[in-house]
Amino acid sequence: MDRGQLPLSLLEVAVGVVLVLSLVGTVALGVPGPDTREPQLDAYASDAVTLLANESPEHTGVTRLAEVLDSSARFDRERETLDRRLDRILPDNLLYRLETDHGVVGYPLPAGVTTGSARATTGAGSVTLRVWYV
Amino acid sequence: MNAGLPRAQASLPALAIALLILTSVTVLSLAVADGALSSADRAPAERHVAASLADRMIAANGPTAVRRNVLSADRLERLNASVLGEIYPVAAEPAVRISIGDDRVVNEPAADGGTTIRRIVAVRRSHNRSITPAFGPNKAVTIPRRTNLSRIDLDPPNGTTIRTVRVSGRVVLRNPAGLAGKYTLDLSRFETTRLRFEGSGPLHAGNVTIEYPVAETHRTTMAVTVDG
Amino acid sequence: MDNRGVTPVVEKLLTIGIVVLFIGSTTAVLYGSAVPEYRDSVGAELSDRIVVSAAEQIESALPPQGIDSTGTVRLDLPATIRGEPYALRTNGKTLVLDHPRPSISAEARLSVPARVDSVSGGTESRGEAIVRFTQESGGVEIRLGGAP
Repeated sequence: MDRGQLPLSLLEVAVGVVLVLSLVGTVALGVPGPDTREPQLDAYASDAVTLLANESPEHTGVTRLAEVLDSSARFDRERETLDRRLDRILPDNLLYRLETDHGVVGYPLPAGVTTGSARATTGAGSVTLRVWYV
Repeated sequence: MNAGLPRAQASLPALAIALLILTSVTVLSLAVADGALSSADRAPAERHVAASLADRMIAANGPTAVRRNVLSADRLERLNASVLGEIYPVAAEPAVRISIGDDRVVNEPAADGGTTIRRIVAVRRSHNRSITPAFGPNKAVTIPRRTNLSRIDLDPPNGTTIRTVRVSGRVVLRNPAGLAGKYTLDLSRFETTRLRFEGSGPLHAGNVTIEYPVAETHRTTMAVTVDG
Repeated sequence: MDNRGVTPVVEKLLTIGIVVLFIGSTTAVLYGSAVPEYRDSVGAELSDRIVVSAAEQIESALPPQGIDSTGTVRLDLPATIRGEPYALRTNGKTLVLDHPRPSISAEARLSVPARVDSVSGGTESRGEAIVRFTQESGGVEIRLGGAP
């Protein structure tokens, strides 16, 4: 007779505790990450595109970037150099993807990752740079 | 029949224990809520000041900028909190720290804290290089680096008159009576410059000295921290 | 047999009474102290962010240099903080958020270029928050509020 009472109230306590903890869990786990990440990534992308777009040309174009975007053939020849240059410009903790009309330079875009982006327009076309934290 | 009834009753000590556990869980959840609230403090004012100061520093008309995102190493060396504070009053406060790469430009660091905004910049160090080229019969020379200005010193030998100086085909200096002395030419950094001297008589090595700035840039990160 | 019939009822009533008392007292304690405090600190956080967001919206809506123009911008602001409407006013070149509760007021410095001559006016949060830019011969005047 007495034996049956304690386990039942323990069950009630357990249910109550689970209810309270589940509500607490939504508060503890539901706080989103700081929103300084995306504006910072956007700033990085805009800086990188500015530095890339304003470099002096090596041949005949208006800027280096306009040169590379001039034609598909030239883009294919110079994409390695563009990749290396972008790698040097951006800090080590970022990965990047540069989308142009003639092709893409950089790493594949992972799903569900916060990215920052920036666009630049040159006389020969426009490019979009996306960056994200490694 | 009646045997089922006592089983459904909670005895009072068990109830007391149950309420005690529930109370402690509630207190625990209040502590978690407190922690969540304090971690959600983003200090938006700090972020705002840091972001706008960083924007001003890298802008094309910033105090140390050569062009957008490119800063001059000379002007950076002369920059400090009071100099920057004259332009942007907020920068004179000790809570604002600016550093380029590993060097502190404005204010010494205290402890880690506050909000930091980072921008990618190129720091440009320039020095002057001068050449005294030898000339062939066409009296033309190409400047080896693309540059936006050059200073030339014309010292033609006796019997030689330089009447026109052309930069990549365009006439920039002309004097039918003869040019001599120092001139500064504005060039375009987007094209290779070819100087051509026209006139009568030959030119030899040493008659023309061309001085032009050569810049090296290296890319680093500028961090603007605002604390409090 | 009868004794056994009374004691369980009394015990159940006692149990119910204790549990109701517990719930009532916990609710009273929470709503008396913890909940208003949390609402206040959340309100203070919100007002900080709102005033900074308003400042950023104004800064990014500045007309570009050189063209004489007038423009208006509608600020995107929530209608109430902590259930009460607030007002946005200016103090020199600082944006001040006035809230009936003093702990929820906040301010943010507007970082605008030197060509901005004056920042004036104020607006309520309940209606539309209009900001008017007037650029004339190089100087810009910013005015909050007024008819749209």
